[in-house]
Amino acid sequence: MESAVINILHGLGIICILGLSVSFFEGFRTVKADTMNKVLLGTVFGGVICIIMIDPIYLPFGAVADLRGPVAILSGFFGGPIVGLVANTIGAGFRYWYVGGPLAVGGAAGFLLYGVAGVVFHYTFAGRTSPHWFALMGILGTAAVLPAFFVSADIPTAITILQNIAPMLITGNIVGVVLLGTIITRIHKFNVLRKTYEVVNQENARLSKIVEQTSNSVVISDTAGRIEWVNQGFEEMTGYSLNEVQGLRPGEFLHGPDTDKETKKRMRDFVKARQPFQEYIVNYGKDGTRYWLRIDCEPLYEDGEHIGFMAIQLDVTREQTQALALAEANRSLDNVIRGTNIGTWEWWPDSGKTVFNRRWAEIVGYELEELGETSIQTWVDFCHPDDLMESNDKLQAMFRGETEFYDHEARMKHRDGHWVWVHDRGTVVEWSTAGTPLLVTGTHQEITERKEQQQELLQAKEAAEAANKTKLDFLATMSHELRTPLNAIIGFSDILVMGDKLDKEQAEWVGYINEAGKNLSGLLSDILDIAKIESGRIELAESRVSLKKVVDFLDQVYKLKVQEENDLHFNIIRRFTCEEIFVDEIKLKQILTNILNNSVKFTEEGSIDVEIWNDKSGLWFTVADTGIGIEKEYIDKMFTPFERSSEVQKRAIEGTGLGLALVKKLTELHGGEVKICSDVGVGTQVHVRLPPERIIK
Amino acid sequence: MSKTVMIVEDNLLNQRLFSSLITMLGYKVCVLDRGDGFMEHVEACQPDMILMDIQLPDRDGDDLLVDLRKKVEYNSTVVVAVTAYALAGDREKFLMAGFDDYVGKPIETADFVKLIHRHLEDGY
Repeated sequence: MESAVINILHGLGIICILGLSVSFFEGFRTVKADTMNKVLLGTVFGGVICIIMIDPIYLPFGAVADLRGPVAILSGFFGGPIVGLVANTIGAGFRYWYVGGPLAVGGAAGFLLYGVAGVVFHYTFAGRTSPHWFALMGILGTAAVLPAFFVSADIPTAITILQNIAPMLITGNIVGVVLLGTIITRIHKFNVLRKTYEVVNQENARLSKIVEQTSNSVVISDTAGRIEWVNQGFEEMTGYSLNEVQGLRPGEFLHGPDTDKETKKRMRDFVKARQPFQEYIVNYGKDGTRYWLRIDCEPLYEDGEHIGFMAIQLDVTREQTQALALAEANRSLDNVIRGTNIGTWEWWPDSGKTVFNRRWAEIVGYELEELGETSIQTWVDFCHPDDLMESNDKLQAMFRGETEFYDHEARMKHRDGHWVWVHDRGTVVEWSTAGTPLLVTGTHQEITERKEQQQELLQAKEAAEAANKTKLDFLATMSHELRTPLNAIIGFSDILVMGDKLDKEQAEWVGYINEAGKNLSGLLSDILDIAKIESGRIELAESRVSLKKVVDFLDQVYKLKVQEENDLHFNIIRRFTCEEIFVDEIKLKQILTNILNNSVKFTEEGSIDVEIWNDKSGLWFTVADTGIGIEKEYIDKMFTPFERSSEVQKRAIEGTGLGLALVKKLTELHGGEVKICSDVGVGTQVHVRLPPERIIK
Repeated sequence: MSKTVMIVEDNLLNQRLFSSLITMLGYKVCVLDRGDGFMEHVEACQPDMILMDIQLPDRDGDDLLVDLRKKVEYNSTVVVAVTAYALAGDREKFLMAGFDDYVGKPIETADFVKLIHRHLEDGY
């Protein structure tokens, strides 16, 4: 009995060693080495079985008893078929050849039954590693090995052996399986925990490094918010070292005049309630630098107990400043949009998505909400079909890069059924790399009133032009029709004057008829010219003209007329150096003859001098006479058609008052100017200046 | 043999004026007051010069000139436009149309006389 106990203790000791050595194999496990590992593990199990069997308890009939059972069963349970097979084959061999005896075959067969039982447990009891499961496995394993007793002994012998061995067999198997199973399980759990711990440890080391080195500031405080630890980021950000701040509350030294009181209070409340929070706040560094922080604060727990807070603080001064500036810019933009009462649109051509503002909808008589989901189709639906085509053309032109801005006036259907005009403007604000528009934005301004006014103005202008044309047509017809009878008046009076049938007085009267006829004829031409100029229907027929020829023309026409008919001195003073000028020759002659005719008309004695010269201000023609002159206050009025207010001239000779007005207009058509200097009773000088561009060489 | 001037003019007063002047100058005159029968009239009086009004009741003087020039024998007959179309540029227009000379109404009698002489005495 004593030796049996010693034997069991001996077996248990070996089992414990086996348990420890199994843990060694866990470290070998890789995918490649798995089969090899199992063979080796099986060999270890087998070897331990052999050691246990070296010194068994010898029973009658050659039976032996020891603690082989737990090892044989658990080799299959923990290691699976390969381990079970290897361990139990070694065990069976050792039993048969080394231990031997009359029951050697039955003993060897017992190993096979243990092995099978262990493999069956491996699959059926996988993961069941608490002691009572192991106890069950000990009982079932013992039951499984019973048939082996009947292999090499007859039934009565076997029963006798069993009666002797049963208490020890069942006790040893149960205690052994529980012990070995528990040891292996525990070791396995320890290994898993150790590995996890290593991973966690590495992770922790990494995290600590990050926390230490991050530019974010990290603050760990106790439950009352007093600083326990700060990282390097905090020291760099604030300028305070860990020693200086330990034990202080951040609010005691970091806050300043711009720190928002409300935010401070909220943060205190969160800390009191041990709640996580995120806040934006102004802090001050040791040197007084003011900066914006974003604080993310979490309460810290250890084993469910609140131990303090961790705050991560990010310097968001730049973002905050930008955000404030952006908010300010948005506010100004909003003000502008409200102030100008302008509709806005943003269009993403790829998706067709289009966003409008409140005013855009208002223009067509809707609340923005009433339009529902808006897209480019919303615009298409409201826009007048005729204007839509042009709008599309202009947009495409902009998309092709031909224009930078889209600018269009279109009609839109108002809710009430009438059309409203909008001035639609926009531009592409984002392009894709492929050169297609991503985002187009623009505005709508209502211009219905302006458009209607334009329409009215246009109609008024057309009416005025039509009236003017009627006037011109009438004047042209009248001129033509009046010339025919005038021809007879002037012609017949000429014949009368040429003949010798009239006495002196009659000849004088006929002369008046003749002169009046000629005045009337001149008037017809002048009226038509003035009307044409005023309606903008006269154009210059410019060409290169020889200045000398123009002057010669004046010389020819007026020399005889002035000197012989009017008994005046006529001088042409040529002081010009240019040869060719660029003018309408007929109109230039008209200008000069009109001035000269006036001079002749209002000069009774003395001279008429024509001086022509050029300087850098242009080409000058001056006609100076010694005539009756014009009063100063009437000089400006001389240029107004039909204005003949000068008392002196009224008394003198009847005229049309159109001459100088025509001169002024024709000169201005050439880009030049006319000036008059005059003294009553002394004479008049008329200056005509053509601009320097008119001189060719 | 004195030369013949044909006057084509629908206004009676002007017809008289031109006939009087030309008769005073010593030339023969024949008169037509419309476009109709123009060529027959030319055949009949064989003028050396034609004073052509432009706006006639039935036809334009320009058209009559075209008819006349179609006949080779009248290619050298002097044809002068005498017209109330007397605005700037009208002279050039008529000379371009093929008239030998141009007189705007109302006429400058002295110039008119010179013009008649010039065309009839210079070997035409």
